[in-house]
Amino acid sequence: MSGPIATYLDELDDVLAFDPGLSRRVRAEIESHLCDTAEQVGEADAVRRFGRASDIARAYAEAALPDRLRRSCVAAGLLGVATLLLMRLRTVVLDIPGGADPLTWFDRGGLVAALACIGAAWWMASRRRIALVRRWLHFAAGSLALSVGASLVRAFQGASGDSAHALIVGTALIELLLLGGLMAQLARLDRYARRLAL
Amino acid sequence: MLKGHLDAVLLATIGDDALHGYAIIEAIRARSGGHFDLPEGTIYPALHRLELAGLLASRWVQPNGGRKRRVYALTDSGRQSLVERRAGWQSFASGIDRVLGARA
Repeated sequence: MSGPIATYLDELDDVLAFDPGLSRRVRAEIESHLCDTAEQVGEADAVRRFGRASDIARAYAEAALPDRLRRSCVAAGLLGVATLLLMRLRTVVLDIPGGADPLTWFDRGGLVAALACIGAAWWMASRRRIALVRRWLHFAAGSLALSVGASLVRAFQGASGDSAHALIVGTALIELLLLGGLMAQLARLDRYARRLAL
Repeated sequence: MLKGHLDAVLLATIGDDALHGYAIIEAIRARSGGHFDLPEGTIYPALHRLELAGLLASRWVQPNGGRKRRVYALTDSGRQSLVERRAGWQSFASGIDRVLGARA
């Protein structure tokens, strides 16, 4: 395919590069629309009537932003709750003693800080303060990573036997998967925010 | 002026049908007697937003020998939202009528 429609669709791909999945969907749908219109008025007019690709991309980013915010906040909330539960599970099953050592402080303090940041992010999301949501979610991810790392070191230090190590590795994998999911959501949210210059 | 009512216009235009974007634009143009000749590209992001909000559902269809198209239909939430938006609009329009009528 060549001509004004193909050129326009390629331009649309470029400006929607911040979300490849959305770009594929939009391309297929808009190509169909432009071909319908072109049968009535020709390709050049069909493209002209549709609007500038950069404006369309911005409108799509604005349309999808609330959903991106919600997904990021849900991912952070899930990770926060999972970290809390898995930390408690390790502490109870492995009978890990508490104390005033730095590892315990990082473990518990990191989790408390992360939960506070997630709460702040939810609140900011309800007020559509996008830049602040991103900032709080990045703080939350960092605090959770610190808490998870410290918790795992504490668990390994106090663990003995294969079943204890299996528990630690299993729970660590769950936490790392959720942390990866949160980081992926944040990366997508950041790309949307850059597209909208927020 | 239409911008603040675009979502309601889209939901009402789709109604009980399953329509693709091009057909929705044509229907809006026809129903409004040509008053609402929207820039065509503005419709698709709005449809996407309504779908993400759970008010619309979409699927690809390809009639025999025809072009593949994504069609949109109202969900249960979309139908409920349309009822509420219609009631809100009728109340608003009635108030405006009374105000403008009183000054005439």
